[in-house]
Amino acid sequence: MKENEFDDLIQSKLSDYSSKTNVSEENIWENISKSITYNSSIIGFIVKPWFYIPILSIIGLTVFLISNTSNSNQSKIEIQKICNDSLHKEKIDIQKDSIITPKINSAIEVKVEEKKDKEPKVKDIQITEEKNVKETIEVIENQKKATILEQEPPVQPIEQKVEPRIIKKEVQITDTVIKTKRMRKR
Amino acid sequence: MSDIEYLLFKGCKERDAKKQKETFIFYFKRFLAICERYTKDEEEAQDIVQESFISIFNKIDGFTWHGKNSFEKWMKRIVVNAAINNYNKKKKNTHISIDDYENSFIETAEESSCSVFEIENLKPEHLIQFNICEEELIASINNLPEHFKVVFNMHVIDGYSHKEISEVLKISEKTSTTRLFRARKLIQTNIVTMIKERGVVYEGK
Repeated sequence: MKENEFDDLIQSKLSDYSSKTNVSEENIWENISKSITYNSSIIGFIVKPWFYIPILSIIGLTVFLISNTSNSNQSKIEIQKICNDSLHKEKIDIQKDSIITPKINSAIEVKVEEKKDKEPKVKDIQITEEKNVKETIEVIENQKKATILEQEPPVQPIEQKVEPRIIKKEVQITDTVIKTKRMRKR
Repeated sequence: MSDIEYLLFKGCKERDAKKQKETFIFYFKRFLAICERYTKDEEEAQDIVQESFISIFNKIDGFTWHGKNSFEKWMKRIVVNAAINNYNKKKKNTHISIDDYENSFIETAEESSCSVFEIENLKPEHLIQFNICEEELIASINNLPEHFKVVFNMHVIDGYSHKEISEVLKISEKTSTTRLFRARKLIQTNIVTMIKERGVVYEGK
């Protein structure tokens, strides 16, 4: 038999040959079905990317907004606390927009109003860098201190008390002084 | 057949669970037969089929329909590749010397009582004449030494070229050709032996 003839014979007989095994197909299918993705009516809809991408985007955006809002509230409370505990107990009004968007690279304007006329006035502070609230407050406090120092009245010199001198000579010399005095009288 | 094939493919592409199961049931025994040609262990063959079907269903998006039989050919290729990978893994763990290869061939040849004349004169019609069925052919292929069997299966039944075989099995093309030649002779010898064992007068004419 020629090689080609033999090969063709084997190929025709065995290429579509099916196994005569009695193995349960169901058992093997159970294993396979656990490892593959398939669509049912609802799952199939959910699996499509055009379905879950917008949902994920919305969830992400919501989480982002919530986290940002909570941060701004926290910052606001912190500012109030620091202001109340501050040395001069001034009412410091920080604009809402300035607090809510601390990370936006824009100027943050902080207005500090004075409570009493006689107290030094702290000028408006322009912060042009991205700063957190604590840093902002520090800047305000430093500015206040600096202003106070500038306007403090000059320190008046206090008179020094002159202690009485101890005349050691009189204590040590006795007879000689008396004699001298007597001689002068004479 | 092609209509069924297309419907099954479409269902698998849409991840339709029913169609996936139908595809599995439709092709399972055919693919198991392929794996059984590459390994003697029945459970191992079932494992290969299982892995292959998982690959088929998960990689279905990478296949495009090219007409009749294209889906089946694509699936068959995955099954054959899985069977060859399994063979390569086993080969790494078992070391057989070249002498053993040669001896296995010589011993099988010596054991047979067939003459070269009888083997060379075997013709296709003899298989029909003497009722040599598919199971017997499978058995004679399975009796081959592993290294002959793999090359024979890949080239003759599954349509791999010697170049492809040499790349997959990491052997030279010449080795592949030699192994195929010997595998053919051994199977022909087996067939002649089977015919003679039936008490039929076979003169190889």
